[in-house]
Amino acid sequence: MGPFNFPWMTFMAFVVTGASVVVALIWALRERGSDRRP
Amino acid sequence: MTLLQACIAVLFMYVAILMGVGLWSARRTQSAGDFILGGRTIGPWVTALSYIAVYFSSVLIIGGGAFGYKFGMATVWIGAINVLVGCTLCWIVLGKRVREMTERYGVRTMSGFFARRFNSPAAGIYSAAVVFLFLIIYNVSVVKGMANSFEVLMDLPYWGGVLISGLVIIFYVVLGGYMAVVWTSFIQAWVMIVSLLLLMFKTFEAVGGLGAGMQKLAAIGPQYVHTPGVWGWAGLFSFSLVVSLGVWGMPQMIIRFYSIKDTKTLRLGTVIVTLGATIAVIPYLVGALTRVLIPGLENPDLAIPKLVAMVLSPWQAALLLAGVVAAGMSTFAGVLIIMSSSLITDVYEHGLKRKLTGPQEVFANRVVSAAVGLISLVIALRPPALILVLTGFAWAVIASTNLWPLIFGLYWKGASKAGVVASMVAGSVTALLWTWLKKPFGIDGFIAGSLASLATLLVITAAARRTPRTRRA
Repeated sequence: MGPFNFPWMTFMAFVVTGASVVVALIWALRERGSDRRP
Repeated sequence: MTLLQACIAVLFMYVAILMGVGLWSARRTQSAGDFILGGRTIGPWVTALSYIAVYFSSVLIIGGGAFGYKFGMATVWIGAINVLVGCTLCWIVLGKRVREMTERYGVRTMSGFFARRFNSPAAGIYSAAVVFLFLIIYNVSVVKGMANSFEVLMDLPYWGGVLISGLVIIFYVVLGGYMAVVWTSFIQAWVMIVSLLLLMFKTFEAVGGLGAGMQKLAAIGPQYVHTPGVWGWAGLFSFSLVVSLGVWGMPQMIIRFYSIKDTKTLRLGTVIVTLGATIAVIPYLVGALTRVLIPGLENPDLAIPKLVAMVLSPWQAALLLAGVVAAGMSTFAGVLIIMSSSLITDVYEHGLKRKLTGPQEVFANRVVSAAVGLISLVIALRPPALILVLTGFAWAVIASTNLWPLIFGLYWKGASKAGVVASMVAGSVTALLWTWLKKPFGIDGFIAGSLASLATLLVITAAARRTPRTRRA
């Protein structure tokens, strides 16, 4: 069992949701870098 | 204070704010570009949160809760895929390119983009016609959802819910155009976020904490906590894909990228939209936990209304009703702008080659928005059986028509004009027939339609490329 008595496979949905935020942040930082390059 | 009194007070304040935004926006709407795109000056918070408000109609809150109740906790995957595919990836893959290319071509609608990008008025008119026809039907389902919420939560007659919600939306859209739509959607998104968070924490409290709630749910039936659980992998993931990837072909969503101010706004907007969209998992989560509090409900659509009555105070329940109505209103309003611009810009001006001056164009958009809104309301008051059947088709047909032509239009120079038109026709006809045939093999009309659209585009484009070479030989 995962956190809060969730089966791991179900809990992974929350992990995917959190990972989406990380993906968005990384993409935004990379884009900022590429926009700054001349 | 009773629930009814609290609902009336909250709704009165809410409607007053929305109408105020409509009047404020009217003063800032001088040209057709302002009416349709807000002059391409919208910032990251407003763009991102209005995207969420238009995406998650009242169907998410009431319907998502019903899914959670019926199929169990595995349905939180639908919310997770909404966040990843429907928001984060959609913004990353489409956002910048749509912003750049629509500015380069000087177009204000998705159909206009097809016409210019593929040099094909037929592609533009076909897309506009499909969007116009099926968005009216989609709008009827949205109004119906709002009116049903009024019925269940406030005991208001169905027609009263239709008229209150519909007339307020038409008022602010006609006056303020896109500017009013995005600012009211921004407010509506906050109402949805606050009300859903409140419902989530109150539900956790009622079940004795999330961990205890999960234990009790597993005791009722392990299928309600495991993935894929009651629904099965095929059903769960095909539905998730439909309501997430389908968004990529929906013009009322993609228009957000046209109107965004600059690339910095887009970067920040991508992070904000992802954070805000995480609320999408809440209706499924609390819907599943409702089974612990109210077991044996015969109609799962009543899961959220019953839960609200059980765990929220009258004021809190009134806020949630405002959230449900907000979700529907923002969707309906976003769709009205798309329909008026499809008809005036794509069909009348570009298709029929009629010229309008700036003020005439604004006036025409206002008249069409009002007319289309009123037609939707009249149909929603007593929806004919055929319209009710077709509401299930609208999302699949529109998304299947537009998805691949949009992606290829943005990323591949080689897509042929004939291939794009054929792909649109194949996508819409397949989605329509597939849904009509009651989704053979359990595959949704959008999946069948978009696959047919993709295959047609590739085959016809390849054939068109080979033909001149053969002739030359």
